[in-house]
Amino acid sequence: MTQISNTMSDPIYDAVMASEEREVPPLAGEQTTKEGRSYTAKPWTLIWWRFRKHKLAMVSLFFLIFCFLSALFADFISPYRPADIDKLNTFVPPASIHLFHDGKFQGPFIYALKRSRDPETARVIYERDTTKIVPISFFVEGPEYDLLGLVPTKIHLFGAADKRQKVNLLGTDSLGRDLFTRLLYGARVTLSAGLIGVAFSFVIGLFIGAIAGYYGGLIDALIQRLMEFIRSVPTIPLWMGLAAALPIAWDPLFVYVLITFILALIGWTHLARVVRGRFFALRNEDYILAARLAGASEYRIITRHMLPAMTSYIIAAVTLAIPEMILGETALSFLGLGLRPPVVSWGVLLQDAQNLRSISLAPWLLSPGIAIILVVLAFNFLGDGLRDAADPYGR
Amino acid sequence: MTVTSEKAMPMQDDTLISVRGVKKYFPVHGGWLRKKIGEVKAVDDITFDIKKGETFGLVGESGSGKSSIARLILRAYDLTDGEILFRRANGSIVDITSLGDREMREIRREMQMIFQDPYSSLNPRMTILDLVGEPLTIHGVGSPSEIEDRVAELLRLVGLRPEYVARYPHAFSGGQRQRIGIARALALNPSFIAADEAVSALDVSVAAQNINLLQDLQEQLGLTYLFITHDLGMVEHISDRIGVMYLGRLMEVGPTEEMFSKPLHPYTEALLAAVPQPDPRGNRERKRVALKGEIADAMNIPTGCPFHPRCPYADAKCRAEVPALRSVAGGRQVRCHYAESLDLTGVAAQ
Amino acid sequence: MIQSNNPFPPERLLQLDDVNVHFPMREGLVKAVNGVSYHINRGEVLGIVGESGSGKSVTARSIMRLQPKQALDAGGSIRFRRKSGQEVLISSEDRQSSTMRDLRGNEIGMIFQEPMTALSPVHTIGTQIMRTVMLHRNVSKADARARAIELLTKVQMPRPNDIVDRYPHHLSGGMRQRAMIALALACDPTLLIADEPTTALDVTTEAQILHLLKSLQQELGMAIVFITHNFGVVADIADRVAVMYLGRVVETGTVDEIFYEPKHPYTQALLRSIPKLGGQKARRLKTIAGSVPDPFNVPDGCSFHPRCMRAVGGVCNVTAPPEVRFPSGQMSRCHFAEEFRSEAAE
Repeated sequence: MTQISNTMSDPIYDAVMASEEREVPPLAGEQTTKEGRSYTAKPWTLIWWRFRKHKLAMVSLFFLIFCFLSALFADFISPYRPADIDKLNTFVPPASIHLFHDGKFQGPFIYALKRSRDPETARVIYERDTTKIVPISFFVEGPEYDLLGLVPTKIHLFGAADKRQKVNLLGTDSLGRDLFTRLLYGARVTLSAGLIGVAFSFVIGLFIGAIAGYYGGLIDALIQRLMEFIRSVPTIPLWMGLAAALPIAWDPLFVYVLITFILALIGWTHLARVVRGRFFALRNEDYILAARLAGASEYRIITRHMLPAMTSYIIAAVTLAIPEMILGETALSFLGLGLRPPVVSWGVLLQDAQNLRSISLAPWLLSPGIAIILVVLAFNFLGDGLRDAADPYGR
Repeated sequence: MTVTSEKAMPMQDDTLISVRGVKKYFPVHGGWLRKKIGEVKAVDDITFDIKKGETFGLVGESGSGKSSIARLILRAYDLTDGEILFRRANGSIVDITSLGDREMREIRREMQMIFQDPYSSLNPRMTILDLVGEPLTIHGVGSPSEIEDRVAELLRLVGLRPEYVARYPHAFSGGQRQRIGIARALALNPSFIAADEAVSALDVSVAAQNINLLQDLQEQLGLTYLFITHDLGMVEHISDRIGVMYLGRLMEVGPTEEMFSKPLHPYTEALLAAVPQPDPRGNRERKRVALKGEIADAMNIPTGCPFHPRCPYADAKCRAEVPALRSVAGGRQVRCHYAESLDLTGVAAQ
Repeated sequence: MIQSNNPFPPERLLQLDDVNVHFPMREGLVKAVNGVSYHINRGEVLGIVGESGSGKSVTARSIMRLQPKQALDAGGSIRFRRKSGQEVLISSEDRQSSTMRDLRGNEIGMIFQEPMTALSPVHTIGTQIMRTVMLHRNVSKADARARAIELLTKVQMPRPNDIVDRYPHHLSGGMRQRAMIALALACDPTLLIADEPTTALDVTTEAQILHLLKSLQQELGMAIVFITHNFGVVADIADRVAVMYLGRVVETGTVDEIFYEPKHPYTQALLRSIPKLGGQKARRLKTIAGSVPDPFNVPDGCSFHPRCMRAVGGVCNVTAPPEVRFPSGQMSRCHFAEEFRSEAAE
C-alpha cells in the first residue's frame, strides 16, 4: 500500500538541513510551501470536517434536531391537548392536506368527513365529503398552555379555521383523541427518557469504566466479570421484576425517573466497556509515557491527554446507546410495566395497537411505531458517523 | 563478582549512569481472576556504566529487553531488583530506584527519552507549542511568553521553522515529527537522553539526517546518549561503546571498534554475520553461517547459557552453568565460558 | 490481443510497460505508480528498492490484480508468460476473472511482510496448504496432505509432521514466514512476489529466510520479485535491481551495476547515506537534503530535482528525463546519466 501522508515539504527546513552539509541542492529553493488549513485546525474542526462527509449521518443529525425541536414545542405545534376526548370523533382516519379544490388554489385545507354507521355491524364509518372544505389556518387560537412552561398563550401553529371542525392529521384513537398531538407529546417523554437514561448510564459507565481501565489488574477483572454478568441477565424479566416493584400509586413523574434509572442500570455496561477500552489503548500510547517522563502529574495526564482523546469516542458511544434506551422504554411501556396512562409516551401509545381489531380498523394507531423506527435509525446512523469521525488522525 | 559487591562499589568520576544488578520480572496473568501464572524475565542481572558525554549503544533482537532498560533507567516502571546510580548536574549521586515521586520529578529534568514511533509519541491533539513547551509548563519554568521564546529556540535548534508552533503534529512528516520529539526532550536541558529505536521507523535518507542532528546536538550540548537499536550499521556509526543483549541479559560490553572487529561472544559474531550488507560482492564472499533456531520464549528461558541452543560452540558446560558477565582485557566484558579460547570473526574495517 | 509494441522474448516471464495506478484522494489525484516499466526473466531475482511512497508495493499488487478498490488503472500493460508458454495480458483481466484466480496461487505466489494477514487464524497450516493444492490440482486429500508436509520440509520447518496440524498463532514470527512461503509455493509457481517479507523479522531470522528463499529459488528455478526498502537485503538476494522514487523506476541494472556503478543521483546518494558495517568511520553520514515530497505535490520535471546535488536549472525542473540506456542494459532516468558514465570510468 502506498502511504499517503498529508505532509509538506519546506524549503527553509531543507535549506537548514542542507547548509549543515555545506551542500545545497542547486534547485532546492524552488519548492513552495503548501499552506494547508488543516495543519492548524483544532481537533474538533477536523472531526467536524470528517463527519460532514458522512451524508447519512448529516441527514440523521438534522432529522433528530427537527424531532427534538418538535418535542420541545409540542404544545405549540399540536392543535389540541393530548387528553382531549371527543366521543363523536373516534377512530377518525388520517386526513390528507390539499391545496387545490376544483382546480382552484385554496390554500391548505382538508375535506370534511361525513359520519355514518354501517347498517350491519353498527360500526362508525367516515366518508370524505369532497364538496365541503375545512381550511387550515396558521397561528390560530386553541386550548391554553404555557409556551416552554413560561409564557401563557393560546396560539397554536395550525388548526381548523372553523372552531367546530377538527384537523386530525394522523387520525384519532378510540376516545377521539388526536394522534398527531399525542405523538408529539409522547416524543417529549420517549426522547427525554432516552437522554436521561443515557445520562445516568454515562455517569455510571464512565466512573466504573475509568476505574477498571485506570487500575487494571484484579479490580479490572472483577468489574469485567460483573459487567459480563449484567449483560447476560435476560433484560425483559429483569425489567418486569424491577418495574413490578414500583407502586402504582406513585407520581407518574417519579415513575418516569425510576424507569430511566432502571434502564441505565443495565445500559451502562456498554459505555463502561468503551471507556475501559480507550483507557487501555491510551495507557500504552507513547505520548502518555512521554508526558509522564516529562514529569506530568496523574491529574495532568488524565485531564490534558487522556480525556481529550476519549471525548469523541464517548460521544459516539453515547449516541449509539440512546436508541437502546428508547427501545427499552417503549418495550416496558408497551408491556404495561413502565409508564402508564395518563402519561403519554410512544410505548404507551403503542399499547392501543396491541389488539388485532384496532389495527385492522385503525392502522394509523401504529404511527408511533414508525416514529420509533425512524428515530432509532437516525440515532444509529448519527452514531456511526460520529464513530467514524472520532479519530481524525487515523492513518 | 556478586551483585552485592557491585552495589557497594563507588561510582567512577567519569560515569554518568551506573546500572547495577538490575532485574525486571513482569508477572504474567491469566485465568478467571487474572492470577499470576508465571513471569517474564525481561531484564535479568544487568550491569553496565554509561560515561559522561559518550554514546552507549544497546543492540539486540526483539524480546531481548533492550527497550525495558531505557524505561527502567527513566523509571517508567519500577524494577524488581538492583540499583541505578545517576550523577546529577550538581554533582550529587542519587539512586534512582529509591526516589519518591516528588524527587523523581526533579530528576526528570535531567534525563529524557526519544521514542521510536514518530506518530504515537506526539499527542495529535496538541499544537507544537504545547507539546514542546509541556515539560517547561509542568516544571513551571518561565511565563507563557518566555516558554514561547524557548520553544522557538528549540525548534531552530533541531532545524524546524519556529513559525510552525501553531501547527498540529499531523502537518509534519515522520522525520520532522521525530525532530519535534527531540526538541521536546531537550526543553529542560537534560544531561542524558535515551533514544529508543529513534530512527528505525524512518526512511534511509531521513534517518541519516536525524542521526547527524543527534550527533551535532551531542557536541553542542554535551549530551550523553543511550542509543537503543536493532540496526547494527547505525549503532556502529553512532556509539562509542556497545552492549549486546540476548533474552534479557547482557552478553558482551565493549568499545565499538574492538567489539565489531573481534567479537568475544558467539552471539555478537552471529549478529554481525547475519546483517546483509549493501555490498553484493562482499556478501557473496563473506562466509555467512545462518544461526539455527529462533530466540527462545521469554517465559521459558533455557537453562545454563541462554544462548546455548543456538550456539555453534556450545558444550555440556554451557547447557548446565550460567556464565557470569566477567571483565576481560581491553575494558571489555563478556558472558561466555569460552571467551578466551574461541577465535571469532567480526567485520573487518575496509 | 497484445497491444504493446515492445517484444516479448521467450525467456521473459513478466513484463510491465508504462504501468500507471492512480488514487483519487480528497487532496487530489495521487499518481502512486507513474509509468513504471520493468521485466523479469525466468528464474531471475529482481529486487525493487525504494523509500516509503515510491509505489513499489502498489506496482506489485497490480501484477496480482490485488490493488485497493479505489485505485484507478490508468493505463499500461502487464504481460505474463504462463506455464503453458502462452502469453496473458494481466492488465486487461478483471480482478475476479477465472484467469486471474488461476494465476494467483498456481503460477504466481505472493508473500507479505506480516504473515498473519495471509494466513487464516482459524485453520491449521496443513489445511490451508492442502486447500490451495486441491484448488489448483486434481489430487486426493491424502496426497494433498503429503504435499503439505513435503512443502513444510522444503521450507526447513522444524518438525513438519507436527507443524502441519498447528494453527498460525502457535508459531513464532520466523516459522509463520516459513509457513507462508510454503503456502505460496504450494503449486510450484514460476513467479514469487515477495513484499518486504523480512522487514518485521530480527536480523538472524532475516538471514535464515533470505538464505531459504535463495536456495528455494535455485532449486525450483522460479523467479522472484523482491520488494524491500533495505539496500543490504537487495544486495544479498537480487540478480537485477530496480530503484523506485515517487512512483517511477529511476534506475535499473544488475546488482553489481547498481551498487558499484550507480548512474542515477538518487541511487548514488542513498547508497552513501547508509552506514556500512565495518566501514570507515566518518563522523557524519551523508544525507539527501529534504524529505520525500508529499504525493499531491510531485515536483515538475524530474521529481528528484529539488533534492538533487546535480540538478541543472532549466532542464531538470522543466522536462521529465528520458530513459537513458547503456550498452550493458543498465538504465537511468536522468538527463545527465551519460556524464556519470565517464566519471565512473575515470
